[in-house]
Amino acid sequence: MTITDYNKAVVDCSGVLLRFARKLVQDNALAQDTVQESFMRLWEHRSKVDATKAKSWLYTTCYRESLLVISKQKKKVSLPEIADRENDNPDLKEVIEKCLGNLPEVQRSILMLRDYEGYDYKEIGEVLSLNESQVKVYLFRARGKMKELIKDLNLVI
Amino acid sequence: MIHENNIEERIFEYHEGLLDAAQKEELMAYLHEHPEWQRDFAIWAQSRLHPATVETPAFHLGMLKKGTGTWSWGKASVAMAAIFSTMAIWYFWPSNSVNPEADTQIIPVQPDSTAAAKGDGVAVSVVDSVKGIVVTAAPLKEKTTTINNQGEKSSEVMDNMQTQEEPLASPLPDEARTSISSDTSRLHSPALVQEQSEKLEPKIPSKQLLAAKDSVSAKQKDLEVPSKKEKKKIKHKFSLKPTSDIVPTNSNF
Repeated sequence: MTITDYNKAVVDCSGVLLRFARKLVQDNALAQDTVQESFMRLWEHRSKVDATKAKSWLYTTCYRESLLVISKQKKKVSLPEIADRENDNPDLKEVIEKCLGNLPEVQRSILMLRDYEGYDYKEIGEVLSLNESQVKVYLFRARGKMKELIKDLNLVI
Repeated sequence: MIHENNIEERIFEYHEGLLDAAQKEELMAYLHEHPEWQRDFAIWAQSRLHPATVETPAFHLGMLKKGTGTWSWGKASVAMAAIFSTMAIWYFWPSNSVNPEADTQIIPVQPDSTAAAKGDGVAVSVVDSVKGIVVTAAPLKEKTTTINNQGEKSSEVMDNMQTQEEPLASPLPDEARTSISSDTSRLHSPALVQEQSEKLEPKIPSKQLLAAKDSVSAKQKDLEVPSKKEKKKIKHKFSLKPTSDIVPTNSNF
């Protein structure tokens, strides 16, 4: 991977990675730190990373970094805060975003990679180190939870 | 076969695009027969994430690395300097300034003895007693061969000088050399000349020196005899002239 490839990855992937990390860690500052850490690791391992697979590599690294951040944040975030979020009455888009925040990290990541990036099961499995059957099961569970949350909030006609 | 246990899975697969045409038709027929699942079918459709706008973070510029292209500014400046220096050397090269269309080669030729004897060039040696060296300036012949564009060669021998420094065979003693070089104002003083001559005079045993002096004085006596006779004759000649207090001004007198 050359410097040009790295800079192209920064320009192309920094935005989507920030969105991915922001949904995972649910904190803008922590998400930025996670993205920067991911790119720093990419630069350190640029000799081993294929330029065509830089985006998947970045997603994988960002996912793992986000899990580390979430594991630290779980000790700080209290349950009443989550309950307060659920009591809001925003529109459907915001409800889905908040439902997404309540999903487990693996299901959340799969849902974002599927809906935001349009990855197929195989690509998602490469990013998250899962096989296609596992991805399909996790995605089914994630959408099922989303459906139940939306159904409970009575926001769908 | 669709039933209540797998209807949600089929709805999920429908929204994921995993069903073929026959499976889709079967699902639509089941939903038409069981309208209570139509609401769930709509909620499954709403469970997809809305594509949010991607915001390029402001900090991404700080993550960019320098040297985006194959040529950085440093390499480009070095390349430009090399190009300009090459052009300057080509422009100021002597062969290019005189006749740019010709290719000239300068071949140095050592002077031979015949050339020196014929008067073409004579070597000149200058003794520098202070430094204790002999500087020899010899003529040097340089043969210039010019090749035109048509391939014709023309040679021309150019005169030049070549200097060579060699140590003096019997240089001055170090003490004398340093004394002379230290005080150049005393170079013309008789005392210094005498002092240096005494230093340069070889030390000979006194007995040998006295014997040599005696032999020299004896020879001088033999030589002085005719000179006294001539002096007497000269005195006789001048004695004939009248003495006078007047000094003659005419040289022919």
